[in-house]
Amino acid sequence: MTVIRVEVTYRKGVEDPEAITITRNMKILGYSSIGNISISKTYEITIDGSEDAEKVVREISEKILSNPVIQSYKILS
Amino acid sequence: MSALVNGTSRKVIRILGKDGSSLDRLSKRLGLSLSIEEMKLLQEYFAGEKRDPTDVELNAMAQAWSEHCCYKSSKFYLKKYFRDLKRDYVYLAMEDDAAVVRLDDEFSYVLKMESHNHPSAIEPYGGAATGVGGIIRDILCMGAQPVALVDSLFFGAPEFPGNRTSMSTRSLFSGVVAGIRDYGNRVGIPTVSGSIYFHPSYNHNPLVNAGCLGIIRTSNVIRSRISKTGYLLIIAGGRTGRDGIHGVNFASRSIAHGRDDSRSVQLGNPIVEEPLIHAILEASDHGLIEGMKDLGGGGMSSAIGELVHAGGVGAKIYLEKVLLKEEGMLPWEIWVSESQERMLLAVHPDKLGDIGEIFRLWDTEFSVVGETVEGDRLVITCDGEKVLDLDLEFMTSGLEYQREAEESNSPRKTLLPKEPADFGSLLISMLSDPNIGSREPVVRQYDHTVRGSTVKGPLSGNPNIEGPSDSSLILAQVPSGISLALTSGSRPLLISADPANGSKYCVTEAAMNILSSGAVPHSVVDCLNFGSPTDRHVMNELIESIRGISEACRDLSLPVVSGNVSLYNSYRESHIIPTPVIMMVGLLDKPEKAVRQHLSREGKAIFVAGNLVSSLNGSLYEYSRGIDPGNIDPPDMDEVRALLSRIPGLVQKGLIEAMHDVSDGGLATALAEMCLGAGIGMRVDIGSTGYGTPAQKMFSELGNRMIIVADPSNEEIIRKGLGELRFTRIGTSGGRELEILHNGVALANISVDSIRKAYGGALHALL
Repeated sequence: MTVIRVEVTYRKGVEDPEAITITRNMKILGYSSIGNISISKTYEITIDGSEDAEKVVREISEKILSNPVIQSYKILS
Repeated sequence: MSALVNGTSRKVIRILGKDGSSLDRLSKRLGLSLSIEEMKLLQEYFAGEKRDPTDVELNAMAQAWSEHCCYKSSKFYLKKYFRDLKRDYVYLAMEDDAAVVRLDDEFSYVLKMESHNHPSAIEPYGGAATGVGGIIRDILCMGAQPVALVDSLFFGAPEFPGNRTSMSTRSLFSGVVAGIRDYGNRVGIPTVSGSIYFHPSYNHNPLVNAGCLGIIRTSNVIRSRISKTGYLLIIAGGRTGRDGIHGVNFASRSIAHGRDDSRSVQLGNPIVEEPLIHAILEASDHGLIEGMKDLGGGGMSSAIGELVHAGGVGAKIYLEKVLLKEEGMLPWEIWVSESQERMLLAVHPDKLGDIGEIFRLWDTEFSVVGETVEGDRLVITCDGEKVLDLDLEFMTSGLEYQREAEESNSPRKTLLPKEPADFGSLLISMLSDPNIGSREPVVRQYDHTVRGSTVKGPLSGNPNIEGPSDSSLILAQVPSGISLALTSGSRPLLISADPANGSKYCVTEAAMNILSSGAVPHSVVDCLNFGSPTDRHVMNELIESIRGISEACRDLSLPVVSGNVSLYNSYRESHIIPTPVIMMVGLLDKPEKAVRQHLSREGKAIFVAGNLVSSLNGSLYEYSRGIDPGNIDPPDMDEVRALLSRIPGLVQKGLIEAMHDVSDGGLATALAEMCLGAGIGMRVDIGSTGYGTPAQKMFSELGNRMIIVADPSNEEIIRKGLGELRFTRIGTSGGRELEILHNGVALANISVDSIRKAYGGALHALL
């Protein structure tokens, strides 16, 4: 049993409306020191066996978990 | 985020003295999508200027000469066939960003349709969403309140699994629908009408055509031009980023590299566009805006160039004043970026304070990026350094080609398919075809009643059991109480068989759809989607289709007020089947006279108006049997004219209870659809509808037939009202079955429940 974490983020230069809205609202609430917020999503994947685990995770990250046009992924552990 | 361009500057690119092949390599390396001949024209111009161009200038020209911006392959034919189709109630046609058409003494409606095909092929969600956002801004930039959206979508074969470069039909379909839903619903404009069509020729080139309708007080129309000097040029709304660079160049060639073209994709943010709409409309109400354009394909480059050139002035632009999404953007990137939600405004310096206050109130960012000046040149500087200095006439006039065209000479055979053994089960299988079945799983995702002016939506019937609606009706919310009918769609199978006659059918069907709601057709917008114009057969399809649309509109006295052309919808050497989309607007003076499409009561008489064309050519019936479409004769335009002039009078008198036109799937499918809305069946005998075989009578998709439901006691008044038109009573509503007979012999007897099951499930597997 292996546990692998994958982080999916927007590519540089891609606008994330949710992050922009949160940043703006923080400023409205008075947190003037906040410059920028970015949001990413982490998947924690439990997988049977360990031999092919990273290969499988890489494949689903590329094909399913991320949209390569606007997102990139990183295998964390 | 800094608004400054830090430490970046222009680059001079050497083109003078280079030969054809190195110019071609340069065009490819910089992603300009210009041909050798076009590069040579640039070389000639800069030889006259006695210098080499900068990277900003080259990119600006590549954008200005793209198919998307200057319609170089289609302009000649659009002018030739559409120019003299004007009517006196059209205020602005084919001039500004959207058409303006008279509604009553005080108000006008504004309309436009555009394609967003290439972006949607790469990123369906973002591509479709920004297609919606862009078309809304086209309406907004005339100063009008957007009131309704339509979209016509075309996808590959439902089972197409995708490959290394193209996405599966299922992913594209669900992505596009989600994009339209999320943008339209969040920005608060109802999506009321449209069409969805599947065919293998769209496997690698899905089509996403979005249209928008707006309402404006005629005296408030803002032109897409500025003719005075000393006015400030303002960009308001979203910031400028690297998204969507070279989008229009990309749309001017075939998709070859598939999803690698990701820099050409723009992403939408409806939360920025919604307040922008309010801010612009408020500024417009206060008379603060002298000229306006939206930034769409071509970005600042085409918007600013066209705005000032149309008014006959020049402009100075300061790129460092443009608000940016990210640091380190190069001047050419800023100039050609196609970032979304941006509007370009020309404002008098004295009014800057007032308009700034409105933008602050709506939490909308803006910056003054330049000013209009005397002369006919556009000069751009970045941090004091000159990066572009071009003659506006040269920059915006664009190219015009008359490419070679040749009719395809593949022989057309007319085969008479065998009569089916079981009409009932055949009808059931046709109803479950993805091209016929219920659009409800899609339509239900779109908010079609937001703004509260939707009189009739995309469905017709009692809650939760609705059938289809031929066109939607939007209350214009003007004192005269008038409402607007809207429809959009195409007939690709007929058009692929005969581009001219098929395109005529595309116009007549839209007119019949408007008529089904009781309204009278008023104006037409076309969105022409074709393969690569460098292929002679495709060019022939384009020219013939434009001719067909033009002739049909002339016969029906309808003006073509606005349009869009999308070419290079091809993958490797194969092209999409020709797909001109017709968006049509009709008028109905009293919304309470609106006619529905479903049977709402038992014991009503069912009639067919119009002649049977006893040919199955171009029908789903033939297509599903693998038979190539044979010859398509043109529609009988005298008959269409008679229907359009006579039926509205009967609607006004309240004599018609329901109407539905016969199109995809033929008469049998239309009758089955009418049973859904209230769960009421009917018994009809189609023997006397004309001369032909039972299959032709049931499934022919040609001709101009309207199914009319009325009280039996009104038969003679309606017959008299229809004059010379063929008018046949075929049966009576009632029961829970659709029973179709042919001269007394039963052909099909299917329950309304089984119709609902087949029809309702057609798209479920795909979403």
